[in-house]
Amino acid sequence: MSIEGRHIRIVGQGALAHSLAASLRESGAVITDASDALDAAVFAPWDPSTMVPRPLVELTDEEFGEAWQQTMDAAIAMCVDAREAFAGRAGNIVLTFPTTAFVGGAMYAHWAAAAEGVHLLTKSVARQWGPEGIAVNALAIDPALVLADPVAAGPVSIAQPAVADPDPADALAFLCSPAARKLAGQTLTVDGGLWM
Amino acid sequence: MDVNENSPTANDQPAGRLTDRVVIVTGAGQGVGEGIARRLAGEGAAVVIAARRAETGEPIAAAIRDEGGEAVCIVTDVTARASVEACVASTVDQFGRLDVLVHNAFAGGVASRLEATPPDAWFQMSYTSAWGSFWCAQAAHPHLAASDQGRLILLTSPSGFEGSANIPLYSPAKAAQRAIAKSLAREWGADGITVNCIAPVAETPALAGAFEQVPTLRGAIEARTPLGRIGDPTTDIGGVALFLASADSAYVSGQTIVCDGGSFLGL
Repeated sequence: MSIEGRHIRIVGQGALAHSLAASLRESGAVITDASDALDAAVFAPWDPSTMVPRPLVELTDEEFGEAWQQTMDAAIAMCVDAREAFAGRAGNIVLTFPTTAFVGGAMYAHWAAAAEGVHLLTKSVARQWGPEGIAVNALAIDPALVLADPVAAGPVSIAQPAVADPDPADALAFLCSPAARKLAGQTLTVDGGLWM
Repeated sequence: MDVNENSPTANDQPAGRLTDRVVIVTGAGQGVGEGIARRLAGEGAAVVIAARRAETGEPIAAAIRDEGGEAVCIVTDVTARASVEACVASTVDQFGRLDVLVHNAFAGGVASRLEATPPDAWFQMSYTSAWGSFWCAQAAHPHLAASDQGRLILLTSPSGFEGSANIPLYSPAKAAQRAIAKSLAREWGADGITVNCIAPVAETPALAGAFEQVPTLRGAIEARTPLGRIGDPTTDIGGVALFLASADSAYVSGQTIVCDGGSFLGL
């Protein structure tokens, strides 16, 4: 599952994107904004500075739009841009999202909608572009990494974590590698085993 | 309307399970919304047919009244916040309360490649589905909280689990509704409100149009369906909506009932 020398684009500006970029770089990948020779693209826009809790009854159109519409528009654009950069060659697309997608979140309906939207975009795009040699998969991460107030959202599970350190770096490296090309529309959940 | 002889009909159940309840059904001018409205009205609910066009909504309301039920049509565009708010306000003005809101309206599902999907088609799906759910939920909340049986029911789709190779953005638009339902189930539980989804496959004008374009589609759907037929909007889908609207579902929240004859078995 080597990603040595693979050219990978990270879409996102927050701490998550920076952390994932750093881990991929440590594994030998070349993080790039250029379209030439792109091998993989990663969608990781989630950022605690914007993912703030808000009761739905107080949610403004601007807040809902920032979470749901802007995230989905960016995810769609990221996929289309990556496919164009692959230029008919095989490639990997990885979309990240918090497991809030699976279980919802109190005060987080707007961001849960965005996360689950990205999850299902993964499946649709995998179905459409799989025959072209583009492997589209997802990486579900611990909400504590990206929600400003994960406690407000409520528990993902009543169970205790099965794994103490839910660092998603290795799973992401796999999904960006040629070895992941036999997967389509799948989600690797790296959250310490909270959601199963 | 054709009713499969093996399907239970409204007559098989005791009537009156929603007596004195007030229900809004969006997109009730045809298809699944019409079926749900008819079924809930048959159980005694006063039903608001929230349809985008009076030409489709008024005849449904009139038909329900002709059958002895209580119904009005309120022209509603779920892609406009003000229209949704006006519908809820008018409902409460006319009937004094709102117990159940069923958001079913949807538009924009046109087959396309993702890279060639017109922005307008995506926005139509996004606005009828995700934004419409947001605005319906927000406008209805104080009234649902005031009810002793507050219910929000969102119509999603099996494509919201499986993804779609034909209409790729239909899936995320429908998936958003499940995430909203789960979030609000958490958030509104303390208000006594349940929030659930139905993922139907049913005989609708939209599906009939697809059958005209792809003549083999009906056979393909029926062949993959363990129950061997496509659902009836009133008896099959309306029956599930009745359960979710009634006291029988009081301890069910944040769930999606897939009502597709057993086609999707991945949960």
